[in-house]
Amino acid sequence: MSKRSSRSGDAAVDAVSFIDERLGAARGLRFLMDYVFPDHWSFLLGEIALYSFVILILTGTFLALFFDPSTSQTVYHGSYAALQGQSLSAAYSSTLHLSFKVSGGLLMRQTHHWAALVFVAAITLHLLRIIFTGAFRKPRDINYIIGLTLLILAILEGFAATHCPTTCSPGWASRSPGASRCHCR
Amino acid sequence: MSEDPHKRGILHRLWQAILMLTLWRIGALRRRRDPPEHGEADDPSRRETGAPEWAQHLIPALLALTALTGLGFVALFIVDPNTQLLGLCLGVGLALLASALILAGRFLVPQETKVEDRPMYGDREAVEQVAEQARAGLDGITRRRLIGGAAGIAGAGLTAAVVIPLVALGPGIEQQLSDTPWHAGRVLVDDEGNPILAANVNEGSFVTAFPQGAEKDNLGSPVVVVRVDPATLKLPADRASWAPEGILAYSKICTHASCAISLFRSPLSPTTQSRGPALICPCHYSTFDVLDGGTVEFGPAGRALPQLPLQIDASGALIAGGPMSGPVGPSWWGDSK
Amino acid sequence: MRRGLLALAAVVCGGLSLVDIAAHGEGQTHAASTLAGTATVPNGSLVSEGHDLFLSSCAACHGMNAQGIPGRAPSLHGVGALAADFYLETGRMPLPSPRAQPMPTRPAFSQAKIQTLIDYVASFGGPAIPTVHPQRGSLSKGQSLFALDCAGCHTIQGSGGIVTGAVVPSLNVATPRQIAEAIRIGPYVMPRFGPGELSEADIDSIARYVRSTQSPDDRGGWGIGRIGPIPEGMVAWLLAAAALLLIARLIGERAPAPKHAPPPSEET
Repeated sequence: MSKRSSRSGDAAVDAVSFIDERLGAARGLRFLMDYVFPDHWSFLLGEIALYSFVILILTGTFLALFFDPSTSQTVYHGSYAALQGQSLSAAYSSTLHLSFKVSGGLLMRQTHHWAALVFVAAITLHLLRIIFTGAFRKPRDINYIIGLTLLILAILEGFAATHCPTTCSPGWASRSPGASRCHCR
Repeated sequence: MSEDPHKRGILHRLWQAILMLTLWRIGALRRRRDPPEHGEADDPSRRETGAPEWAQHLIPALLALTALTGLGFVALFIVDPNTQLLGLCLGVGLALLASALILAGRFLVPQETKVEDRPMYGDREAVEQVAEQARAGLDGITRRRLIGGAAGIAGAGLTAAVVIPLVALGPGIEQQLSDTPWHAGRVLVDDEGNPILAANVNEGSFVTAFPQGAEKDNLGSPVVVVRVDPATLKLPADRASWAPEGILAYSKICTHASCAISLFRSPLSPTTQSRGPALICPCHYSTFDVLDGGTVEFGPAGRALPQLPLQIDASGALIAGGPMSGPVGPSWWGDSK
Repeated sequence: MRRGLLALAAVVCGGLSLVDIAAHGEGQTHAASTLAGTATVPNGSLVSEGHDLFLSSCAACHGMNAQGIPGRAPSLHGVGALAADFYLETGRMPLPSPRAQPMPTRPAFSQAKIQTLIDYVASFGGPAIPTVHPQRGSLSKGQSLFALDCAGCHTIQGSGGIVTGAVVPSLNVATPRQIAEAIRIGPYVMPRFGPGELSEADIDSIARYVRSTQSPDDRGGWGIGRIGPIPEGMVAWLLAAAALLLIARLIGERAPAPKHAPPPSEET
């Protein structure tokens, strides 16, 4: 029943030993702290991609709380007058609700949109850096494949995400049901 | 109009001055950090400490401003969630935070350059041990190929079973692509369900029509109805009766990537224009000639637009004279007509 | 400096005259001009004045009596004041060359001369100039009709575009009357819609919708041309990504330059 306390009074030691005595993490932390990372400016390009992805996650979570990814038709009664009373998909209707009714909704939606575009651009810049510095060679070849997969997923996700609420891109009637009449529903 | 050479010279020199100033500034930023001297050891490791006073004041100031913008965002959100103001507030806040972090990274924290040898991957001994243990797992098994092959085909079979449900996304096994709601006698109705009268389809206009009572969302449902001068028709012989009074109906779904065809090129004065009436898809501009059965005039579509035979019933309404001339929607393997 | 001022003055004068013409085009109701529902009763002297002007400006293609010349220009018998008003007010006619696509531009004639030409063409019969009441239309119905019938070529924001074989004009400066006239005429390769397909109430609604696109509620800030993904991509790549790249360059380290020419060594 004795509580062996290893508090030494040094804040840093206490903090690290708190984790180490439960997870055995001190050696891992030492490895991480010793990790030497190149500080050339071209290594920041991948970080741009990373942080735009973080923004996508955060804004996307907010949007997901309001977005209804359903193609079921509802009659729209909201503040966008041009579509008042028309039969829209629940996805589009919830997107309009987000844009016009939800406080900060349009900000989140726009941030999400632009972060997605910058995400793909940053991945491409990062890819160019990898190629031109030969960082795709062994032992980082699998890493490179993973990165390419991320690029493809990012592009696919971009398509899927703009496809869902069917932003009224002019003339670009989509394949989704209801849009066969050339309405962006 | 000749340019005043004196003016041009000034502008040119001004531009050059700006350019040189910019480059000099960038160069000056470079030179501020002394590159390490090439000594005998050629070891670039070093560590510099000493945060200047101005940095230790400026950075907290920037962080305080960041806090203010954060609070400003909260206040705006409650009072007037104007998107542009919110965005500006958040953007400025993040920019201030970024500036603080950049300055901290450059001037606050110790500047350290370390050298780390590349990790030597390829521990031959460990690899041998792991391989040995893996091989040891097969001790006592004599029919290795048989068991291995059996495991392989079991994996392949189950993988096929797991993957095959994805086929349901496509045209499907049971559902035929050529099944559309159109059959002989089906009335054409407009967007609101009213039968379309032949008299209401004027030459040069186009109308979107659906089968009466059928689901509008079915890809085979929507058609475009147009009227042309019957004398200009060039339909194939077996479709001669498909266009009463010169009224034609084609599937609205493009045979390229199934966008809705919503453009109708309808020349007003045929005498001055060489291009005839055509249905055009807005996505990739596949152009279908309406006079000769929907053949592709331009664009990436792989086959002609399916045509719906039309008849005019006793009340003057348009009805279908039979099913579509071909499968609706994008071309797929095996379908090249 | 002086040349620049002269150029500026010319532009300002040109701009003012454009505004002047546009203002005249919409608001003026000539004593002899036709209104919807009334038959064409052109002023006799104006008709003959119009005939003279027609002979000098239009007959080369449309024939001495507006009967049309095969292979060159169609007959104007029966097109009415509606068509004449549309083509002349928007500057589509006279064409710069016989095979050119009629494009909206500055009207070639003054308002008074246009009226004489309208009266002349109207004397051959045909539909009158329509009156449109956008305020009576329904914005939502207009959007629905526009999306179904017009947005394919003109885009949902009325920004214009292309079709195979023609340029689709933007609707940003189209007046309700011009919209109604174009719908009935179907100029160049545009499809046309008769009263049986789009009633006058429908046209009121469409005009109301188009008017709303001319002063859109850009809730999200900068519209970037309102044509969708392409300008957005350009902003993302040429502004945002370029700026971020520049910032990365500025805040990151650069590889230290060798002090003197290094001896050929293994790559580091």
